[in-house]
Amino acid sequence: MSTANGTSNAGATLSAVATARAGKYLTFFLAGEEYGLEILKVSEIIGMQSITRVPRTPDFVRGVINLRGKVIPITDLRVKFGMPSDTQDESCIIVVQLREMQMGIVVDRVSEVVALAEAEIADSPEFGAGVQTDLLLGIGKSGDRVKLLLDIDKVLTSQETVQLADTAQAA
Amino acid sequence: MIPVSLNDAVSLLLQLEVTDTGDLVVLRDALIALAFENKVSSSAKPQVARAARLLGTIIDGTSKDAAADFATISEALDTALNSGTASHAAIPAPAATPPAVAAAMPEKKPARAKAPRKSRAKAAVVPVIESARAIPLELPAEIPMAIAATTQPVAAPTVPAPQAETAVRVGESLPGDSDISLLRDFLNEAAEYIAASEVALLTLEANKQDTEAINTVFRAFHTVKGTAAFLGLTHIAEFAHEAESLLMRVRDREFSYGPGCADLSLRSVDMLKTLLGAVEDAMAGDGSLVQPNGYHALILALNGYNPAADAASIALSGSVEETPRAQRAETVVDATIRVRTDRLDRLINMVGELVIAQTMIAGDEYMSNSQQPDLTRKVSHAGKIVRELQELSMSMRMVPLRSTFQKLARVVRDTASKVGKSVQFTTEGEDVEIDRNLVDILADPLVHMVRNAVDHGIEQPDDRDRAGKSRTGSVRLSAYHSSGNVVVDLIDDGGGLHRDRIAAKAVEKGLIETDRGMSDSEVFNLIFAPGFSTAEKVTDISGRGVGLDVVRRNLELIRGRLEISSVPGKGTTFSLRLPLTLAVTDGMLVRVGVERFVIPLTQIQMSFRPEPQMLSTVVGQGEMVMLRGALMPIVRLHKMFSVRGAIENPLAALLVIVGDGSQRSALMVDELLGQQQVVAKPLGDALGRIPGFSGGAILGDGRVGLILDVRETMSLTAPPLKLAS
Repeated sequence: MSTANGTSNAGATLSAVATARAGKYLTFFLAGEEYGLEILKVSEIIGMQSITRVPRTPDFVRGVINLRGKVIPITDLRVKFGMPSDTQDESCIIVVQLREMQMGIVVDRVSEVVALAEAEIADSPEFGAGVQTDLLLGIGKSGDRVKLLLDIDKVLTSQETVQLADTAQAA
Repeated sequence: MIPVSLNDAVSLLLQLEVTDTGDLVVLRDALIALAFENKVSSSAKPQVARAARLLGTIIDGTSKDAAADFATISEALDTALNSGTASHAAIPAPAATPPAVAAAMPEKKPARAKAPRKSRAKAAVVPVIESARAIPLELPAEIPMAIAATTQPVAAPTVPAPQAETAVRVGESLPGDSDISLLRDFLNEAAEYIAASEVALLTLEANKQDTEAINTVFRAFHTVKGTAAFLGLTHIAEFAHEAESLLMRVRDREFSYGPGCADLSLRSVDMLKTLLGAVEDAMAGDGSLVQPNGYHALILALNGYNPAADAASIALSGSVEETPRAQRAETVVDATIRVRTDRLDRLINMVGELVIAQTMIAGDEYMSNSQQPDLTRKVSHAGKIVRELQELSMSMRMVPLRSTFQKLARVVRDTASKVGKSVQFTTEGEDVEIDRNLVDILADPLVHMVRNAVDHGIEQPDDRDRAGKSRTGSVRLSAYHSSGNVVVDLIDDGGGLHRDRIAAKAVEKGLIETDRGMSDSEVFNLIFAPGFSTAEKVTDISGRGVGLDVVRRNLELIRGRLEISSVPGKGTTFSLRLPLTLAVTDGMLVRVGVERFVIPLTQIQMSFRPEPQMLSTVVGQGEMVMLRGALMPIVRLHKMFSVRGAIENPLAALLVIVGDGSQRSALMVDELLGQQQVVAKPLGDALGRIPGFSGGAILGDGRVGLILDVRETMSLTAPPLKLAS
C-alpha cells in the first residue's frame, strides 16, 4: 500500500471540490473501532519497530524512530484518544505527511482503502461537553460498518489527549 | 515576424508566454539590436537593455520569478515606447509585410529557422492594426547574422559589430608558469562574482541609492583584479581596474549612477566574461590569448566617461562581441555541478542507512553460522562496496583548503605593505579537505589572525635586525590531520607573546584575579577575551586583541579549539583544531536503565565511580560530589528523564563530569557503552524543542539515540513536569 493509490485518485478528488470529503480513505482499527484518514495524507505504512522514548513529552508521544535516516516522532493514537496503550501483533505505524513534516501514528491494525462518496459521509453528531468532534471530518457509512473519519492534521497538532471513545457507539 | 521596432517588440511580447523560449530568444536578440544600433532614443535605451537582460534570465532559466520578470519586461518596454516615440518617428516606416522579411530568415540563419517560423504563425493572430505598425523595410542583415554568431545565450547585451574589427591576436599569452588548477579556481570564482555583480547592477538600476549593490559590484571587480594580477593576467587586471575606478567614483558619490554609467558597467561585465572566456580558450588551446574586439574602445570609454554627457556618446564608441568559441562545450572549466544541499544530505542519510542495513545482514545469526560460504563472500563483497560508498558520500561535502589559504596571501601582502614590513608567507597542506560549511566560517577568523600576525606579531625590520633575525619575517600556515581533526597552524617568527604582560593586563581589566595556576596556553588565550580587544594599542601585546574575540566566537560556532604556544622573542604558534565536518559529532553512548543517551564527547571531562566519602547532601541543593576539592551537583539522569530500571545507588553507578569551569555537574549513568561518531539530526518539527536534548542520532543498530544538551540538562534540575493531562 502506498501513495500510488492516492495520487491516481487526485484527479477525482480535485473534480469533486464541492464535496471535499468524498474520496479514498485508509481505514484502521483502534480498540475495536474503525477509523479512517485521507489516503492523500498517508505516505507509507511500516511495521512496528523499536521506538526511542523521548522524555518530557506528552504521554501520547511514544517517541521517535529512524525512518531511513530521518528522525520522525510517533504518536500513539490509543493514548491520544484516552484508551490504554496496547501494542499487538498486528500493530503498525502509519506515516503521514502533514504539510512539511512527517509523523507516524501507531494503530492496532490497518484495514483497507475505501472510496466514500459524499452521500456516504454524515456530519459528526454533537455529543455535548467533553467530546471533541471537531477532530472528525465526518462519519463514513459504507456497508454495515461505521468509520470515524479523522481530520488527521487537527488530531496530530492538538496538544491534548482527546475523548473520542464513545463516538462510534453513539453514531 | 522579427520585431524591428519597439512597437513590434511590444506587440510580439503581448502574444508570448513565459514558456515560448524560441520566440523569446528572437525577441531578446531583436531588443539588443534595437538598443545598440541606436534604433531607439537614448532615454529609451536603458529600458530596452533591461528588458533584454531580464528576457535572458527567463530564457536560460536563471530567473527567480519568470512571471514577475515578464511583467517587468512589458513595463520596461512600455516606458521605452513612451519615452522613445520621438526618435522612433524619425525612422521611415513603410508598412512592409512581415512574412516577406521573415521568409528571408531561414536561409540566413538556419540554426534558428524554427523560431521565426513559429513567431510568424503567431503573427497571424495579431489584430489587423499590426500591419499598420512601423516596420522598416531595410531589415539590417547584420542582426540575424550577429545573432547566429552569438553562440551562448548571454543575457546582457552582446552587441553585433556592424563593422566588425576582427579579433586581434595581441601576442599575449598565458603566463608560462601559470598553475592550471589556480586558473581554474580563478575562473570559477570570477564567474560567480560576475553573476553576482550582474544581479547587483540590475538592482542598482532600479534603485540608484543601493550602496550594497555598488559594493557588491565593486568587490567583484576588485577581487577579479587582484587575483588576475596575482596570476599574471595583466590585461584582465588592467580592465578590471578601469571598471573598478568608474564604480569607485559612483561609490564615492562623485556622480550618480546614470543610464550611461549603467550601460558601461554592464558592458564591462560582459567584457570581463569575454576576457575570462579567452583565458579558458587559451588553457584549452595553445596558451595564446585573444584580445576581444572593443577592448581598447571600452577602456577608453571607461576612462573618458563624462557624467554630464552620459548616455548619448557611449553607445557608438565601441562594442563588445563574444568571440566565437567552438570548443566551449568540451572544455568545461572544472567539471562541477551545483547540487542542492538537502539532496546531498538525503543521499548521505540513505547511505548511512545502507551501512546500518548491511551491518545488520552481516551480523545476522544465520550469517555467522556460515553454512553458506558463498553467501558470506557475497555479503562481505557488498559490505566493501557499501563502505566505499559511505566514504565517497562523506567526501562530497569536502573541499580543499587551498583557495582559503590563497586568499590569505593577499591579506599578508596588503597588511605587510601597509605597515612597512617585509613578510614571507608560506603555506603547507593546502590539499587537506574540510567540510564546505566550515570553510566559510573559518575564512574570517583566519583573515583576522593572519592580519594580526603580520601587524603585531612580526617586528619592524630594524627591530628584527637588532634581535639578530633576518629582516624578512615569516608567517607560515600549515594544515594537517590529527586524530580525526584538521589542525591549522599559524606560525610566525615575530616577537612572541609575553605571559607576564598579558597576565598583568588581564588583571588590570578584571578578567582574572591572578595568573597563578594557569598554564601558558590559558594565559595566552586571554587575548581572545572580549574585554581584551578594546585595549589601547600602546604595547606590543595590546593591539593583538583587534577582532580576536570575533575569532573565538566563530571558532566556538564550529566547535573548534584554539591553542597558543609562544616563546618570547622567537615567535608564536596558533593551533586551530577543527572537526572534519559539522555533521558528525563525537559522542559517548551511555546507558541509563533501559535507555541510551549520547553525550557530546567535547563536553565530558571525566567519569568515575564515586567513593562513599566523596558524596554529601547539601541542604537545599541536593546531592553533591566532592572531586579534588570542587563540589558539584549530581544530576540523576534517570530521575530527570523518568527512566525505568536504572541504578539508584550512586556508589554502584558512574558519574560523568560535564561542563567547564565553575559550571560543572556530575551526570549519574549506569554504564558507558563506548565512543561513537554520530550524525546529529533534529527531532522533527512536530515535537519542537525538547528541553535537555539537542537532537537525535541514528545509532549503529538503526535505532535513534537522543543527544544530551549538557548545558540545558544542567539547568533542568527541577523534577520533570507532567505535561500530559
